[in-house]
Amino acid sequence: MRAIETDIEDIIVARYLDLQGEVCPFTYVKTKLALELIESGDVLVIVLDQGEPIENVPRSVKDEGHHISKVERDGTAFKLWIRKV
Amino acid sequence: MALNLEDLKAGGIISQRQKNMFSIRVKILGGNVTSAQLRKIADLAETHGRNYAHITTRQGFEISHVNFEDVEKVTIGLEKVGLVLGACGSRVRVVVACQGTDICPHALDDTQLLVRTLDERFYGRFGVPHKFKMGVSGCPNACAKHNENDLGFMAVVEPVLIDKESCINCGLCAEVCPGKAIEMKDSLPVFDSTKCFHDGKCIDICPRDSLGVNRKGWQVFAGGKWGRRPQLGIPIANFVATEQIPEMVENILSNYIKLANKRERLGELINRLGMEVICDGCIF
Repeated sequence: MRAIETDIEDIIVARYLDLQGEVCPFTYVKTKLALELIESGDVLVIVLDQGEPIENVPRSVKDEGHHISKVERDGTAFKLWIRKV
Repeated sequence: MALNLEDLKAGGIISQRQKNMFSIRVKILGGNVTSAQLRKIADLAETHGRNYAHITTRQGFEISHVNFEDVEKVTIGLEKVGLVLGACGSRVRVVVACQGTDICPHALDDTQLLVRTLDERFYGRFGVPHKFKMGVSGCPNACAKHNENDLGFMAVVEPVLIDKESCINCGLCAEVCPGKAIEMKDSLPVFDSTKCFHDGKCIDICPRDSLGVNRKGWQVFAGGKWGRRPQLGIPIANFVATEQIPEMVENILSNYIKLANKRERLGELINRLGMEVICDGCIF
């Protein structure tokens, strides 16, 4: 069995943002604003619709150097745990 | 100066329907033009044209309504900001491209570098049977419509699982793959290369950088054209490195010149004799 990161389970989620129903670029803009409100090392959880949001937001988050620790599928949406760089 | 309309046209000075009026075609390479060049084009259009410039389909400009007596003033003005005339007639035309890795998050390779490489060696070359166009797209979004050119180049990557230990089985790669070429099996991504568009979306999205690039390069398309019988270029080679492209183009051009009838486009030659005749070293 491969080691799947579990350290995240113990971390308190500093902020939660449901972006279902939002469209680009607001999905990323709101993610970015939420990240600005938390401390470095803290975790933001976002929920994204499939399609354009899930195709673009994780890539942009990665490009800014943040760490995506965990991803969960929730029906047609995706829940992402982002640790601020 | 003797006015030979054909000579003028080959050099980017196009005779208008209005008597003694010319449209001056300005070459802009790969669609990038500097502020100083834009200002000069604006000044020349104001002074010698009718205060506007036409944006051409090959990413250049035409300064229209220039009197024959003023043509030289316009060309001298253009030279001052490093601009030259756009090709017309049976010549290798301006290479068009998207912005590529300079700015685009989707881009997979440096389109502007390939454009400069192609331009230096081939631009304006005459003795070809008909017009000869090349275009470069930085990814399979194909924004530069490379495959409507005689030769088109599209940047591609082949993904591979480089670190299975770090994969967290999130499935985002499979989710975002436009070709549905990835399936999660035993908590790992498995690729079906026959469905892969080689756009690297899976590599970009992977949260753990478990996916990487196996091969990258240019997919080469031949035989695209527009006009009365439009057709798209067909892929003739894959993952070709930038430095290999000039020799490949030289090879195709020499076969084209040898085999085509006068005023036969590369695509028409391919329709008539088959793809094999135009490229010796290509994979079909």
